[in-house]
Amino acid sequence: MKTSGVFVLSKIKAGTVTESRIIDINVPVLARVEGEGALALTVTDGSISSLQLRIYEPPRYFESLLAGRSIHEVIDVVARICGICPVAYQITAAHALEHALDIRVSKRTKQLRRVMYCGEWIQSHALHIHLLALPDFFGFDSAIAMAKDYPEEVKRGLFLQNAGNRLIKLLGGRSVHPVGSKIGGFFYNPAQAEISELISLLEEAVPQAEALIKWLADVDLGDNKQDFVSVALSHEDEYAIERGVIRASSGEQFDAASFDRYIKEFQVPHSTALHALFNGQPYLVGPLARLNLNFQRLPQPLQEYVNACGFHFPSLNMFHSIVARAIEIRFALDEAKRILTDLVSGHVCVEYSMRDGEGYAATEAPRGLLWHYYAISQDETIKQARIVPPTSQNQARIEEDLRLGLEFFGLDKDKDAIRLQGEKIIRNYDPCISCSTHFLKLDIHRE
Amino acid sequence: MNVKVIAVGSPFGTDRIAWLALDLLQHEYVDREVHCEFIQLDRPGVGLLGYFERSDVVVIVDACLSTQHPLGSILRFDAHELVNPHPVLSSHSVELGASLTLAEALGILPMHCRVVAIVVDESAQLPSDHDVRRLAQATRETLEQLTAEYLNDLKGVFLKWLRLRCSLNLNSNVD
Repeated sequence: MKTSGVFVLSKIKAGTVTESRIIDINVPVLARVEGEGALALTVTDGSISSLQLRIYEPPRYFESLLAGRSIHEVIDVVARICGICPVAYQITAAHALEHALDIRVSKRTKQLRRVMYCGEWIQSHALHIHLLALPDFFGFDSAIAMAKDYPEEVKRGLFLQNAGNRLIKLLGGRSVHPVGSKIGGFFYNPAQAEISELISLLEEAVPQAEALIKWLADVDLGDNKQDFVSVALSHEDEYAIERGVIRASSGEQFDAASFDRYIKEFQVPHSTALHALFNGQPYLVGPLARLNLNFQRLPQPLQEYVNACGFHFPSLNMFHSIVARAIEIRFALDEAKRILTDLVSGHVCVEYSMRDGEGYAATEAPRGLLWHYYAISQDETIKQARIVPPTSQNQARIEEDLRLGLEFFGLDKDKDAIRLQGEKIIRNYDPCISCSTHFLKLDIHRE
Repeated sequence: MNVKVIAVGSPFGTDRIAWLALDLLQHEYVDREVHCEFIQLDRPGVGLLGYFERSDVVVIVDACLSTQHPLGSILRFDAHELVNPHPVLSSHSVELGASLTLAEALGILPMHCRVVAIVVDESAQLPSDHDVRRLAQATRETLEQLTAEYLNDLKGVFLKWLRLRCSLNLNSNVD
């Protein structure tokens, strides 16, 4: 379902807002996943005295909706939370439920889950870079306008996105809200012919992802350096995607079961989505946070290639998020190819018995750390569910970034320039609210 | 000649009507001389663009909502008419008009591309068999008409080329 339609009116006389109010909330029928945001900004004597990223996405009550339902419904239900990263929700739910039930999945299942997750990173990142974020950096108002001047680059982005979708479809039956995952593994074990076909596609895609990184090195991304804490999964043997411990750039390290000790969710009046703080401070999750913590876990040749292109991590330039996405596309393509080439044979589901229990899991969704908790009964029902998605974790960081980034940009600039810069800062996070081109309405007060 | 009929939809309610119409239609085309590729896509977004490459004739079949037409109305559009200068493009929602607009901007929207849509009741559980048959029929008519137009245009191009060649030969004989 599409939800949209927060309209903010501003009437400006001689640079001063005389009236500002929200006049309508409209939820039109039919479409997929949407939401809308607005930015309310008050500038006093040239500095920001009030800044609120308002999110009006209606509460969706997924956790309450799961309570009392069969554990077997969870994986398909949570996929509906997000149209662009359902695999992240499915695999995190599967891991948490398997933790509760003490299920050990087969090696092939582990390998294929990582491949599927790679597919989601590739398609989500490729879409965000080419259709949502890059137009900001080139000064285009949309991807359509950019496509006329950069057709080959946009086509390359669509090709990469398709490669990611094909990986998801291999295991999920379809790329949108895939249906192949279950507790204990998969419903479907792909045949070697399908796998071989995909390996060829991935081989074709790898040089295109490298070209993307190199191309971004020539794009003026701007400077938006800030001091922030990065939080992401880390794993001693690999670049963390679907397993690992949670690490912070401030030095803390903990497992998914200890999430609540470090990260507190809370409600703010101007947002229907919960905010979150790490040790009482805003923090960053997502591709840049991952690279800041785990760059050394990338394959050595990729590290060298990235450095040769002029990028170095950790980076405190928030606009390097787009580069981080491109690097992760390149990594995920090669990682999926490597795993599919070395895939072990065997089953992709295991038998298990029911019991009461609690399970926790954290994985790295395209937009950052995703955390699930389930309490289950022996009668195969969910007693309690909690889900903390990446965008809600990033909200406080986005507000902090807006405050610092807009002051650095210059608050004396005209309203349109400030609005565009604000949109660029927000879109840089690839927020999972209304990501549409014109999603931000700026309500600016100057006193 | 590369001919494609692409049904866009999802497994939910009446949104699957284009898939069902295609199921009916493709049985009729098994032994035809003109090879036609029938493709069913599940909410493809910009993935639709991948099917335009090397296509001469494309018919896109879809369900649509309209407050201006009665339920069951069959609507036909030239795909180029649906190009929208201000499409909604987000990570979660890329509608048909946005995909066609992007395809045109990239120069890959086929010259002979039509959209056949049926106005559906989104609250209904299933499309009626009657509507499925009507949509299949409308798609068949559009496909045949568009293929004929393509062949006619091709013939025109060939005749132009032939005339030019004859004229060059004549000139060369005069010299």
